Amino acid sequence: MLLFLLFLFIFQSCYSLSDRNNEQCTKDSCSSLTSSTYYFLYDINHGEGFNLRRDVYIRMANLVNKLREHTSPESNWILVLPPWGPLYHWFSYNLQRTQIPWSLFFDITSLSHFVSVIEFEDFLRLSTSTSIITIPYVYTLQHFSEGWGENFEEKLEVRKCNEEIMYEKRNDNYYYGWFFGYENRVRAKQFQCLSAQGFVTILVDFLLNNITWSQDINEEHIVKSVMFDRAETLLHVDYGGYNYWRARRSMRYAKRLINLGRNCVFITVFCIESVFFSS
Amino acid sequence: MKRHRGQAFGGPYLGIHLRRRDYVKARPGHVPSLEHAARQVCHHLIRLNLSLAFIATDTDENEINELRQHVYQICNISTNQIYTYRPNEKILEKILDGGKAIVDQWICAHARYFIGSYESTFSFRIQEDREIFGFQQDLTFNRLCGDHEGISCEKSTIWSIVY
Repeated sequence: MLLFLLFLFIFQSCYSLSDRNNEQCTKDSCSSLTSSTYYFLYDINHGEGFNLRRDVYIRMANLVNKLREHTSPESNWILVLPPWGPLYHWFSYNLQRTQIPWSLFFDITSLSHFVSVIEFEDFLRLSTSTSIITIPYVYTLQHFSEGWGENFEEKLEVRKCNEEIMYEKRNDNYYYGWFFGYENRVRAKQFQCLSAQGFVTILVDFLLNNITWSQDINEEHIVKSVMFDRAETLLHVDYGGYNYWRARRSMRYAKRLINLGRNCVFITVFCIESVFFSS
Repeated sequence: MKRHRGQAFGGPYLGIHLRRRDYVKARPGHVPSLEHAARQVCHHLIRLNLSLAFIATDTDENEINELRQHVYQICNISTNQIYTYRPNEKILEKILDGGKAIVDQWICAHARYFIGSYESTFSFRIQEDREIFGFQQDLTFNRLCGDHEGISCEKSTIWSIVY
C-alpha cells in the first residue's frame, strides 16, 4: 500500500512537472512543431469509387501502423482521414458532394482501435492560423515510366512527373492544389513526384530517412505532416493477413446507418430479430 | 471480438448485389441480363426455402420492376417480395449516396445467403463483413452468373478472415 502511494506520488509529481513545462511555452512555441506528433495524409485518384477507396484506407492504416512500430514511442503518427467526394457513382447532384467527413459513414472510435485517426477538419484546426495550414511535404505517387521491368522489385525514387502536375507553385513559393476542395486553406512547402513500385511499407523507410522537420516555423503555419497523393499506386502489405483484417474489422459503420439498415430489415422481414445474431 | 464460423445465420432473406450501369458493358459475359438474374433469384429462393429477396443495385426503379416481373413470371414470386432500400428525401439528405450504399451493404451482409456481382468492390466489402460476422463461406462467396454461364458458375474468390 505504501509502495503504491509512493508510486502515485512520483507519478503525480512527474505529471505536474510536465504540466509546468507546458505552461511555460507560449502559444507559438507550443505549436505542433515542438511536439512529436506527425500527421500522415493521403488522397486517391479522383476516378476511384467508394469501395476501392475503402480498400486503400486499409493499405494506409497498415502503413501508419508500421510507421508507429518503427518509430520511437514518443513519435506519434496519426492518420488524417481524407474527406469524401465528389465520387462518380454518387448521382444525387443536389446534395452535398465534397468535404464529407468520415463520421457520416464510419464509426471513428472504432477506426481508432487500429491506428489513431483524425478527420481532416480537425487537422485544419492544428494550424496556428485559422485561414491557412502548410503541409511541409506533398508527394504524388506514380508508376515508373519505364514499366515494371522483368522482375518484380520494390523501388522508390523522386522523378520527373509523368503526368500533368496537380500542384502548382505560385509566386509565394508554396504549392497549391485540390486538397479535397480546401484549396484556399491548404498549401504545401515542398512538392515532388515519387515513382513507386511495391508495398505501402516502402514509404516507412523513405519517411524515416528523408524527412526532416525545420525548426523555423510559425509564420508559415506548418504542421508536421506528409501527404501522398495517388496512394492507390502502392500495394497492400500482408493482403488478406492478420493486420489486413484488424484494419478491416475496425471499419465499423456509423451507428445511424446501422439503425437504418436494422429498421428496414425488421419492418420488411417481420421483426425477426431472434434469428439474427446473438450480439 | 472473434466470432466463430457458423455463428452467424442471417435473416430469412436472400441478399443480392446486382451491379448494372457501366458493368453491363465493362464485364460482358459475367453480368446477367435482368431475365437471367431473375432466374437465379428464383433458383436460390426455392432452393433455400426463402420467400424474400433484398437487392442492392445501382440501377433505376424501371429495371428493378422489370426484374420483379421476370421473377413473377418464372417462379410466381410476387413483386412485393423483392425489396430494395430507397431512403426518403429527408433521410438521403442526411446520409447522402454513400450512406445509402452502406445501408445496402449492411442489409446484404445480414442476409441468410448472399450473391454478389463479378469482381465488384461493393460485393467484396459485403463478403468481408460476412466473414467478420462468422457466416459459413458457402453462404457468402457467391456471384451472379452471366447469361452464358448457367446458374452455377465459378464462385467468387474466397477471402478467409484471419485472427
